[in-house]
Amino acid sequence: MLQFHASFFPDLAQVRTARVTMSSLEGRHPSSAATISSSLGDSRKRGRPDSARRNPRKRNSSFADFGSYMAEKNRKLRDQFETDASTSSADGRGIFRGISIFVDGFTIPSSQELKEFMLKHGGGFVNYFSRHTVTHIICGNLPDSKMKNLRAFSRGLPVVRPAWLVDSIAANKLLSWFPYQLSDGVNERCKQQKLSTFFTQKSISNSKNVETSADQQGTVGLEGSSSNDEVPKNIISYAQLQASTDEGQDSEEFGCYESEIDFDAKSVEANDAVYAISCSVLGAFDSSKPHIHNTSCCGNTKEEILDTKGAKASNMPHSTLTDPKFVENYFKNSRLHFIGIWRNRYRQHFSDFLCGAKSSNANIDSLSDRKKTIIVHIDMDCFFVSVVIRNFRDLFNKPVAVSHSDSLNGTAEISSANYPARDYGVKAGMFVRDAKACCPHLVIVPYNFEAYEEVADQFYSILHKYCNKVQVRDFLNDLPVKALPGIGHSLDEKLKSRQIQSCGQLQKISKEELQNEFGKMTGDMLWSYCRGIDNRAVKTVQETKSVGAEVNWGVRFNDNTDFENFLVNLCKEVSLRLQGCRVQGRTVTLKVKKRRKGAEEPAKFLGCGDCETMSRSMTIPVATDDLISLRRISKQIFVSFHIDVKEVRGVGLKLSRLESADLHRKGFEENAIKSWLASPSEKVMKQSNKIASSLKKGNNEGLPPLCSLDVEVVKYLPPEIISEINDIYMGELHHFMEAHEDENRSIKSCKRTISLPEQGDNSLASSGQAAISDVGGHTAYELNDSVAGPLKKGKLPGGYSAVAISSISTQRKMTKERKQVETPYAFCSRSNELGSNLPRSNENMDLMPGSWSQADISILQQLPEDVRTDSYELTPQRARISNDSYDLTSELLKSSGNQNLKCSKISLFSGSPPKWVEKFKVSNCLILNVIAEFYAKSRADALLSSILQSVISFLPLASEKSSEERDEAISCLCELLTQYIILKIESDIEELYNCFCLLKRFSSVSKLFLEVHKGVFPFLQASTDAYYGGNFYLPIVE
Amino acid sequence: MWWCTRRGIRNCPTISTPQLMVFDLSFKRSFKLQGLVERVVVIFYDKERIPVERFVFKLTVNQSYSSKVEEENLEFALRAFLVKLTVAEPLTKPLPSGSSWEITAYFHALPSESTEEAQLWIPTDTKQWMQPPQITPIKSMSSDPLRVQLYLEHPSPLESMAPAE
Repeated sequence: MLQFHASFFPDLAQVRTARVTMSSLEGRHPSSAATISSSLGDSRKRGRPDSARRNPRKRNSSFADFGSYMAEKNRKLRDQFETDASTSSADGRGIFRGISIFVDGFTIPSSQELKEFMLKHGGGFVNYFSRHTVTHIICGNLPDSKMKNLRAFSRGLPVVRPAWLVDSIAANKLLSWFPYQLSDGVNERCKQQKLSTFFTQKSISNSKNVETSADQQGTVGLEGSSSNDEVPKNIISYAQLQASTDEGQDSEEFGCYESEIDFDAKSVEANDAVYAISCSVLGAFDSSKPHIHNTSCCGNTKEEILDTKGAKASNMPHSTLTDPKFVENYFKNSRLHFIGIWRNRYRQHFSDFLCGAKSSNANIDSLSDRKKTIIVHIDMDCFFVSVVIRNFRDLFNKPVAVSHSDSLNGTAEISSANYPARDYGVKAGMFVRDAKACCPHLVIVPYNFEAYEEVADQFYSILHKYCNKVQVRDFLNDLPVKALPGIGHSLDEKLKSRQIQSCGQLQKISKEELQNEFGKMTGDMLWSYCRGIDNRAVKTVQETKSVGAEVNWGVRFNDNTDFENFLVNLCKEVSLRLQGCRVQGRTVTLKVKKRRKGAEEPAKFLGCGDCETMSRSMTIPVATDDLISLRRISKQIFVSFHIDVKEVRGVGLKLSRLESADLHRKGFEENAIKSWLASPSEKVMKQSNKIASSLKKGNNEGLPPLCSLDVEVVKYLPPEIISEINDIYMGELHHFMEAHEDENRSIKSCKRTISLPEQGDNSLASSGQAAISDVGGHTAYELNDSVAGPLKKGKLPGGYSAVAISSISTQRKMTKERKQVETPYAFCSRSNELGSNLPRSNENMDLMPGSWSQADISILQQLPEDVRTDSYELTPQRARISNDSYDLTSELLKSSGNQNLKCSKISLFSGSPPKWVEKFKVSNCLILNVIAEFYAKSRADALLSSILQSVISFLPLASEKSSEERDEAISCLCELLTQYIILKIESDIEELYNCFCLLKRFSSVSKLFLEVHKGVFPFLQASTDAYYGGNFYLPIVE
Repeated sequence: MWWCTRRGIRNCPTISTPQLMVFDLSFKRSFKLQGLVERVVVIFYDKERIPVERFVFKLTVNQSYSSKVEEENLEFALRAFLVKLTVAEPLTKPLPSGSSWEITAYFHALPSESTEEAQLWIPTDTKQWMQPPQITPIKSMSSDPLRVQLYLEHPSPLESMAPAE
């Protein structure tokens, strides 16, 4: 497969353009060439003496002074006009009879066209203003100075917009000029394009205004109404393109009617500047003679002559200071933005083509005689200008440039200039001021983004008709080496050091040499590229790496509020762009341009000037396109810069690490809290499964004999575990289970035990760590063991005993328990032990980091409440045990917030109303009765602290006690509070805190409560220490 | 070490606690920690990076809770923290100048390296108090399946006698 590269070089295109415009001019004035030449000259209204040079006839005449020269000139012009008029308007009864116009400045239609109108319709046209000969002044734009002093300028004559003439012709009668007066609505319509006009929305839209604004735009042609000989010849149809390719005709034949679409290479980022079209055409292309097509696609755009954007008020705000919609308008009017989003537009609009690339490929292949891939690069040079002026023939050969503003200051930048303008040295990026210095009659036209989009879309449509792939890519030019893709600064330097600056020079070097010099790949690349060979596949769509928006113009802030508003808008913009691309980003980068110290106000009006650029980024865990998050993060980053908002000259926000939004949308919809609360088990399941399986080998040695397994239990295990056990037993388990199918056992005990393996499994699942799942594994295993019935300590696997031993006191308690627990309940007590061990290690968490404690915690966390309580209820002995352990003590208490103890101790709080209420009611102690009474009065779920609070007024009662009653009250209260601590320590220390604050207050007035406080407070501290690793800090109460 | 931290913005002593907490709650919300985290602590440091004050959020998630999570209730309950925090100022101590803060999460277990979340956490080298701290509870909340307790930790008076290394 061969590849050809046809590049459109600017010079070539330029020649064509020049030719086109000449031919079109000639075509338009077939009758009198003399008229053309004079009117061309006269269309510039300046009456400078040097204009005499234009007319050779006048050179010989001698004039006494400038006045007589002008009088002579005017006379001759009048004569000329009259002769013209007599030939063109036969009847001499045109609608404009008696009207003589003077055209001031740039108008649409041009003064020349207006002159023709006057010629045809019996009016007069005056080249040099005179109060006596002129009846109407026609102008579209007036400089501010003239606007301000309109009467002085017009000398009382009506100043009318050209639309008056146009409309009159259309209506075929002389309309009243009154509505067309330029003076009306001075405030609404700015005759001169100002910066501000670019920051307003399309607002004024009644038809007249639209028309007016169109006039002001300087971009409108009126072919429909005025010209009879204008044909949309500048449209090259698909058919023509096809014809030229089909028949191999020289495209020059069509060339004369082609106007080019020029994408301004300078203003367009390199990537977007050049469109490579890979055409599989019908074999007509000859490699030795590549045909070059300057295609144009003006289509039906003539209707689209009215640009509503022009209707803008002069006093609209235009910087971040004054415009609340600054960001929005900024991007609406930014050419760079337009270019930036181009690719996305392309992707969206032509997704059909992209999807259908394959099928169309097939079609083309089947059509073509020989398969050839032809890659055509089209340089859309000075695109912005060409599109705007494509309907205005009179502008074709004039220097035209596109810029935001044609203000007096001339501080706007030129973004694109056509070739006539370039001849004068006008370049993109120049200030209008400087450009005008090079070329005084340079016509500045504003952007017309809608037209650009339209043309671009049409252009792509054409391309897609014939090509299967269109790529936005680097530009292949054989002039400077650096312009080649893949040649950056350093490579360029290297080449320069070898006196290689152009591709031509590079071509002289052999491939081998290049490969030796620059390495194989680079050498190959250089060799190919400088010959215009690019073997890279033409990719249709390049992946978007980041999405962002940056504003470096018009950024001025007075205070933080300004900045925040701006930032919100910027975030909005970025958020919309993200949504537009259907991506979300994880890294947020904020770039801030800060005025460099001592930097002057920039030359460009409201530009950014000399700046330091700061940039910082933040990566968030979950990709976002959410406005609020963006705002929060960007603000946070901005704060971290510590800069004064007044110094800020530019702000950019960018998101990178993009992820497809569709993937994330789902996760986003679920509420974050909910997902956060979701059980980790599923997620970590796989992981732990892996670990568990890796543990198998280690466990094998301690396996209980198969016969000791309880089949009833095993069969209730989750299938995964069964299969796992089966694996451990080398597949014998299944046989074993079948054999023992009928065996009956106590269902109760089964159930109890079943819950445990599940827990084991859970803990296994929840652990993200080998160490934990290790223990988890042991636990699970051990449970199988316990299923076997006999519970012997010696049989415990090492892991478990290690846990048990970790706390001596717990160990002691365990032994104690075991003595009393009878075999049928072995599992339950076991599970209880398991639980009771856990808080102990929880306490140790901070002090003894290690795998065991970690494991314990996870197990504890996984133990559901009901399992625990179930176990407790199953063991009536528990109460006794805990009584023992209560005697056993404070030592025990201190070292562990014991579940056992809890289970027994909270008995006072079990039931509804809690048991203690009854107990207190029947007590002899008044204070206890009072407390019980208050409980009865309050809500069922009342907290102890609120009851205690109510008791406060009864405190004096508490002090008048016999010592017996006193002791009873103290012990009862102590017990109550102790149990309350056990009950609440885990879940509600706030409540305990409140209780003890109250208690402390009570103790300052009541000795009884002082005793109670003294008795229980150490326990509280011990428990707190156990659970929270610290001590309660109680405020000192006077 | 098996606690990790995500560093906050340094040198922001002016940030008020409630603001911080709002940030903190949203912060937690955005992290799908899925029950891995046991405590989230906002630690204020003095110049020497010795903790001065710690706001501890102790979290317990009831894994066996299966019925639907009532988000409104939960949100409401969480909001109670904010209310309580606004009145908790008297409990706090004035921060010395040059303070900084960071948010530290205590995990039940180290998140394994491979998961995405784990990469977002950096192990901390936070200095610890040698003595058990003084605890001042601020708020406890239980709204199934989540239980959150917020309490304040200050160094124990003994701490100053035996300063942490």
